[in-house]
Amino acid sequence: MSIQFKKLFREPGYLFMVLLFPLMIGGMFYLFAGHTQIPMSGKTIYDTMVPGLFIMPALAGLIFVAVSFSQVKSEGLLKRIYTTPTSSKEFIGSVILTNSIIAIIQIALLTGFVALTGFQYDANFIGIILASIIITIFYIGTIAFGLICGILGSSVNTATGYANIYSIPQINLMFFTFPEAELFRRFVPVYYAMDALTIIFDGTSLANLTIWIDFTINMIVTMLIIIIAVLLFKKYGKFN
Amino acid sequence: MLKNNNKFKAKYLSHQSSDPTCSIEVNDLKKYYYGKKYYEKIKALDGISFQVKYGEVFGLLGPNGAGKTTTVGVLSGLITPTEGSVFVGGYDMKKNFDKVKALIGVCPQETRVFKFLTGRENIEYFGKLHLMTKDQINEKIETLLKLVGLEAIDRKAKGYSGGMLRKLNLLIALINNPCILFLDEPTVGMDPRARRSIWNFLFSLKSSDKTIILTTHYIEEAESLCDRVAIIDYGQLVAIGTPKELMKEHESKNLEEVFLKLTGRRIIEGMEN
Repeated sequence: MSIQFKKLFREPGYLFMVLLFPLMIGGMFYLFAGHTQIPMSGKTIYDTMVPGLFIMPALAGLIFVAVSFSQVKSEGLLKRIYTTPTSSKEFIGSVILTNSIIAIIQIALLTGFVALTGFQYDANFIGIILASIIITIFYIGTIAFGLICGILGSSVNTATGYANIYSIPQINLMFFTFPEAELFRRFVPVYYAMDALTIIFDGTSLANLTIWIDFTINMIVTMLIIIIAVLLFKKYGKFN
Repeated sequence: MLKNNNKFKAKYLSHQSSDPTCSIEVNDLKKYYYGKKYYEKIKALDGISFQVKYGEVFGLLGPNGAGKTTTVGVLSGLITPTEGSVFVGGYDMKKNFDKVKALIGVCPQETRVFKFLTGRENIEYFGKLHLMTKDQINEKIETLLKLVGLEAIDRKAKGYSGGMLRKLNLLIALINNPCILFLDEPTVGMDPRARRSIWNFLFSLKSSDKTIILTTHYIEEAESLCDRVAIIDYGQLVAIGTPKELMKEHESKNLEEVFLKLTGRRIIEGMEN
């Protein structure tokens, strides 16, 4: 597990992309939309972008996980790992756990950043904790999907391609405003994470059923992706 | 009924190879790869059978593409055979590969190490994957370093020379103190001095009761290290025996001459084409 952290701190490019890039995106959001008020709401456009700010690094992180896993695979290291007594479940579990810890650090940094830029959480403390759990579950799902891309991709480029197929439509669907987009959005996991965060940050009561439906769907999708990742690793993990 | 069922399970799980003195038993092993067209069938292994005794150093010789690496791939569980059975340490590879994993160490032909980690961290990582404790790993690393000097052990593998990477590759394969060691061309690309030091190390392993399967292009390596050798060509076993037996059988002065006599048709065919 610790080798992911070693990679993070020994490869400055990786460290920058994983930890600093999300803050840079946040800074850009703040610079361009931090002072534009939405009439009669008392909020800035930046305030409405904050849920997306928390979600975006997960989709970007998906590509990094896919690339780094497919690199390990193309260097033949997976084959070497396959001949050790560590099981597929344990190996995938440790990769997901390490990347989840990195994701939690990302979330903590972003939470601090949005607080510094004056974002007012209308949610109470429990609401913020629930939001953090939802984001973490979503991150774990995307990390596991990154692993699937890495396992299935025959090269780093193919793995990146698969990761883009998953992430780009999700990012785009969040920005499309035409009515049909609303329908399509419901078929992508990011919708449920974003929806839950938006409702919680608006200060809506945590008894709101939509939050829990979003939470459950998010959880089921993440579990399914993890199961698929373990099964695929078991089947294709040893192949280059 | 349940009792009988448990007895059956116990018998099934302890299924041994036909000869209990065998560390490895390969029966009629076939591995075919299929091309894009249905009739394109590449026979990487075409029905090879052999046995390796406990504590034996067994060499696999053959020209490029003969099937040596495929054989090691099947024996180490990385390649699924098309047909045939393989027993490693008495366990059927198809049914009990998880048990086999605890017995084997694999040194692949390509150096497979994490370049951003130091040599020590690489060995530690694979030690952990072999479910070893920190103390066991440290103790083993110190023992191995005394036998195979790797001065740059605490430097990142990124800056290692080819020879140093080869040594690290070998040390990783040995961290779990395997009973059965697969060495796929462990000295390829090494300078003569480094190669000689690895040979000395491998020679010292001969007295440690390890079964070693060694594939090599260096006939001299096979002649000095191996108790027995098998020569493979076009996926078929063309000769097997001790170097002396093979030399006598093929009326040759050395193993290289035997090798050329048995696999020379490929060279001749190459010249004709």
